[in-house]
Amino acid sequence: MTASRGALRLADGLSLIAARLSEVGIVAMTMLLTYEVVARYVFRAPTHWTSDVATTVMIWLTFLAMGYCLRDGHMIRITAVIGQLPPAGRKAAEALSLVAILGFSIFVLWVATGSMLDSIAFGRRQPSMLRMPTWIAELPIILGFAILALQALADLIRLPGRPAPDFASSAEQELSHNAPGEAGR
Amino acid sequence: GDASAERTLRMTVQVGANHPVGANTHYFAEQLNEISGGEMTVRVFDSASLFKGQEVPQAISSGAIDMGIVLADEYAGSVPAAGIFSVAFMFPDYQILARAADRKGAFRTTFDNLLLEAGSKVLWWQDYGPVQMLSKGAPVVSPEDMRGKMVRATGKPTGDLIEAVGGSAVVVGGAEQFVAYQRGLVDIGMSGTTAVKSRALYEVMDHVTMTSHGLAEFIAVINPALWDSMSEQEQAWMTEAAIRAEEKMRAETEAENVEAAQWLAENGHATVTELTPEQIAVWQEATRPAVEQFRQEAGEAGDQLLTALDALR
Amino acid sequence: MTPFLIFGALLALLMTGIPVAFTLGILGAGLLAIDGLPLSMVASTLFGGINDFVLLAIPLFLLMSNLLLRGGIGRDLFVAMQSWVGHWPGGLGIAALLSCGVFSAISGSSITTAATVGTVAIPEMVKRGYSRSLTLGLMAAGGTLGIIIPPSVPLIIYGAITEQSIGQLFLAGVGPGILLIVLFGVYVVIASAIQGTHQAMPRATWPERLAATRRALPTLLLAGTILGGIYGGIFTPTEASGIGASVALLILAAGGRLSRAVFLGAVRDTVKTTTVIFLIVIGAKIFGQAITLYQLPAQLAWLFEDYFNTATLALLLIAVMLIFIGFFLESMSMLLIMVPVLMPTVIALGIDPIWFGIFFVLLIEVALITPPVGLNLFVIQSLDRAPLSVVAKGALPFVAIMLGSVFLIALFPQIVLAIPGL
Ligand code: NA
Ligand code: NA
Repeated sequence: MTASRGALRLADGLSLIAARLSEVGIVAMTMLLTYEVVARYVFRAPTHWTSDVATTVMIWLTFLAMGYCLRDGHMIRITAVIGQLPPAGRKAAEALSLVAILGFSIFVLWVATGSMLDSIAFGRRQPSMLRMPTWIAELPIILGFAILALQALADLIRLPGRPAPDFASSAEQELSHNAPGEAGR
Repeated sequence: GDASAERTLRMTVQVGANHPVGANTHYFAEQLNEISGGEMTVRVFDSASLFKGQEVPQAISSGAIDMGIVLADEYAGSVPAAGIFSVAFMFPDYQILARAADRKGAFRTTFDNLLLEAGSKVLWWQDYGPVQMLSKGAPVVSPEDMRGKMVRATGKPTGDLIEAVGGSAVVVGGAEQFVAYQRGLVDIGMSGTTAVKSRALYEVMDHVTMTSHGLAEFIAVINPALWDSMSEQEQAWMTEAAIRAEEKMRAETEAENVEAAQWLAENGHATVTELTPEQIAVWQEATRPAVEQFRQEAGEAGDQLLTALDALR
Repeated sequence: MTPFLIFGALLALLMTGIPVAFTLGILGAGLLAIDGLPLSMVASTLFGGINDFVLLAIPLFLLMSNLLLRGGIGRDLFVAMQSWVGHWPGGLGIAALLSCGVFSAISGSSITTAATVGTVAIPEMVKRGYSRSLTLGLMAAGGTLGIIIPPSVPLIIYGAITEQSIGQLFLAGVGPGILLIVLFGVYVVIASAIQGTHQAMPRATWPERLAATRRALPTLLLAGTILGGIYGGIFTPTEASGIGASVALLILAAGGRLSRAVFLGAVRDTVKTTTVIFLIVIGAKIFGQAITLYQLPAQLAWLFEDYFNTATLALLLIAVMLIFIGFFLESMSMLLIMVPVLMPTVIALGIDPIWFGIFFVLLIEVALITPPVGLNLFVIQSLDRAPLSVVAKGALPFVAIMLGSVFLIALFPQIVLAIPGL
């Protein structure tokens, strides 16, 4: 029992750590692009690397934050129909979503790993000034979907023991999560 | 036997069917269908509906798509020597390109082998023509005219060229090109002669200097494993159609580029400045560091290409 | 038959509540597998789908507006606008509308715009006797200005997938954005006069106006910097987003409003929104490649060629299709699924792709406020706890006005193309 609870906590923890890294990524991107404009106008010396590095950071942060977005109920979904279902139906719908996400994540782990190994074997690099190795931008896909798969599995295991999800209100909260004072959930 | 089984190939193209490069792929498809007596069909997916240009090398080598068109420069990240067409002042005229394209020559075999190592088997080359410099108010006659200016770069080799003469390279994508010129984000632009006309760049850059400092060379490629799985008969049909498409494109490109330059000048759309051999020599001398940079990064393969090219002059 | 099967399957799967991104990805991969097509295409797309420098503008514009939003900019803007026009007939409505307009110039999303201004404007308007239906409809519609007035997330995505200039698209959105503000404003004045239930505000004094404007000034300046910087060739739209986020930070810091909670909250919201948007971008690309290989866009193009072979007829049909799809589909997916499908036809008919981007975004705006699936309706509903039907009823006249503006830009393309052409 404690072992399984530990495993669930591990999934949550991984999602959270990955999301925190993504937050650092957003700040880094802001600094990189600002630096580029300053370098061009103040020092008249545009860099050759900010666009490559910032784009790579963007790819990392997108995939790393997936697990956290799932855990926090942030994925965009159409709840107009399933929101009307009775509690058992809503639980079933949630289970279907989690199984779909888990299945797709495992599929992606399989194809993306093949692709990254290919990139390493061919020595693929980006055709830009920095010539960054392609695998650097492919690795977060694998890490991100591994975290997502774990999170989906953890949520699936916890689903029977929890009250049925209330889609109507969670959709509204999701959509208005930016509004001050409305963010409380 | 195997050869009697009909085969359909899928091909990704990032430009539309009315673009010369796109039209050439449709010509290839027709020729192949005719030569093979209907045994082989190519289904062209154009306008980047499947892949953008930069995604093509990986899509081809992984087998995600059978065939594709890709700018040679897109391989220059993985194989720096593949950037040769954009290295400063390597192909001053159409004759040298035609000689370099000789399928049995040292340059062609070396280049095609490089792409094979990167996971793409070359079928044919699509010449899209020389790249020129664009500016406002005055032409870019000498390297001095580029010193201290913001210049549009398209990749590593052009970036090296710009920096060799003291300019600042700013990477601007094709889509943002017009706005970058219109709003003055960069002072000097670079673009193919025909694109100056078709993308209406002359509306925002009134001077075109015919430097022909680089070439826009598109390459038609196929997944190597798929190629190897074909019968000898099929390979022969493909090669025949590829040669027809390549030769047609080469002839038409020269004519279209000459015509575009004339159209620009005669209709007063832009001031077109031709450079004298002496002026070109000054440019070549000034951009030598960029060539050396290429030689260093491209290693042995780069040396072979440069040597092969020297022998053609 | 196949097209109906595929789109039917898509709609059915979406209704089961599987997140949109995964519905698209699973259906796309499934279609590839059924036809024996290489699944390695999915791997290329996961990476290639967002490996694009221009997409960087999305998270950074989101960060900029999230920072200002958490720093309380919504109220400042509304109070400033109110001090100038609040005493006019329908003045509070105009103030809310103008606040939406200004906030749109720093926000790339319509739900953020609706939520920011709605939070402060709805209670004020209702307190002053404006009908609930008019108030909620106005805020739902006013929020949609967020995606037509630059910056705009949908326009960035449109530019990225059609390889059109995002700078041009941004400038093209300015004219129609102003047109919508004017049309909405005229309607609010007339409607509130007819209803006759609202009380006019007292006229603000000059010191009050100056004080209120001074508080809102940094935001106004930031909005001007973004658009002016792009228009003046100082930076690209992507760089503008980075500068915008940095300047927003400075504005908050200078005003003593940059707490740890504000900063972390803004960053956190930005990460979440970025991730869910980009996942849909990727999912839609996988689905798009699959239906391209099934030749659906080509079949549609032939249909247009045979029966709707003039630009006018084609645009009419496209508009009807998008209004219909917009009832059910979430706006981001609508853009990502339909643009690649329609683009071959649009190009073949010689329709200007920049103009078409604006046309499409106006129809997305309509979709945002039509039931049953209309994100802005949901946002406003959640702010006011009103039944969806009340919000939707209030939004209906605005749907009519937006469709009218679609007609106007078709009749006078210069509304769209004049500013980018200058
Ligand atoms: Na906006
Ligand atoms: Na809708």
